[in-house]
Amino acid sequence: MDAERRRQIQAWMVQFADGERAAFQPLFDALWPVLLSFASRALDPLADAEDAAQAAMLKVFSRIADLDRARDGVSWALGIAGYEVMTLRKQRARRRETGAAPLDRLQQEGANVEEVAIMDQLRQATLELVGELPERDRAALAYAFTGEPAPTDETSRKRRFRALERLRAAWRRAHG
Amino acid sequence: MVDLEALARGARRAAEWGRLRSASHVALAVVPFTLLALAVAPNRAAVVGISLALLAVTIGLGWLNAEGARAARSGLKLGAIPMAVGLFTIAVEGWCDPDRAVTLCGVGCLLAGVFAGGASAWYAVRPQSPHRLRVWSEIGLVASLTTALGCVGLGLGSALAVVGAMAAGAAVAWVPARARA
Repeated sequence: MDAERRRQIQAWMVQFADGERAAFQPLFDALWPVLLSFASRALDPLADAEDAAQAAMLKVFSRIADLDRARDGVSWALGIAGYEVMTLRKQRARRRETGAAPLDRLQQEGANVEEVAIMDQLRQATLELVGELPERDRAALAYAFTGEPAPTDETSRKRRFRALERLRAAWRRAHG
Repeated sequence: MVDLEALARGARRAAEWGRLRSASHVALAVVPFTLLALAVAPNRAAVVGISLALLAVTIGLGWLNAEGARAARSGLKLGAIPMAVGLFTIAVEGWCDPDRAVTLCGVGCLLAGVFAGGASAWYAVRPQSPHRLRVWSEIGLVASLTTALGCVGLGLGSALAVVGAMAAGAAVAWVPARARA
């Protein structure tokens, strides 16, 4: 926009702010392309840019009675448009977050990647500690890693109990 | 695709509501004036009526244009002088003796009215506006209503006399003020 055009828009703004209703249409016609062009550069789909520019136009006109005549009116209007662009971006970002929520739930119904990774790490850490236990204890806990049913006799139960106690102690030493 | 006609209608409507909202700020001055007058003046119904008229006129002028908003502010400032004098003389016991033909409160109000009228002419002529007479009448109207808010407690006749004094003061001050401007 050249300086002459900018001065003309400023003059119409001041006239309209002072109560000259006839200045509305020329001001509207001149300001709309400026705000739309600004919003188009900041927002990607044209529809979003149009939404932001429309909201900015309404705000500019609703506040024009309080216009500071000493300030550049175009910069003031672009400031309002910039705020509208930011608001729209935030809204779109929130909508995207909301939109992804059902997908997250779908993943959790099956296997959540993050949870699976954590479980793998825990399993690996446990196996490492079990590997450091004496052979007798490893044998007592083997059922937990093979998927076989645990032996139910009293001797096996006592060995398993003692092996788990030593495994817990080893875990506390290793991981606090 | 944007419907520009609908957007223009919305923008025009938003602008008018914005003007009204901006003009309504004048209530921050009118409401305290009213409360003060209600606390001092005996005839509250008249005070409420005048204050409603004052509020409507000042908001209407502010909504109309920026010149009207300035006139409303000037009128409130100038009218506050005789209003304060009126309320003060009512508040001081013995100054408004109803048995006497000439009372201190009446004289005080009349003098304050003449001063406010003269000042309103000065205010109206000072800006280089082509609508000086209109601005003068707007300032005078608001100043008269503000004055009446304080002086109606002296009686309707006294309030009218003060408003008349303001008009006379303004008319007398108009000639030298215009010559100087």
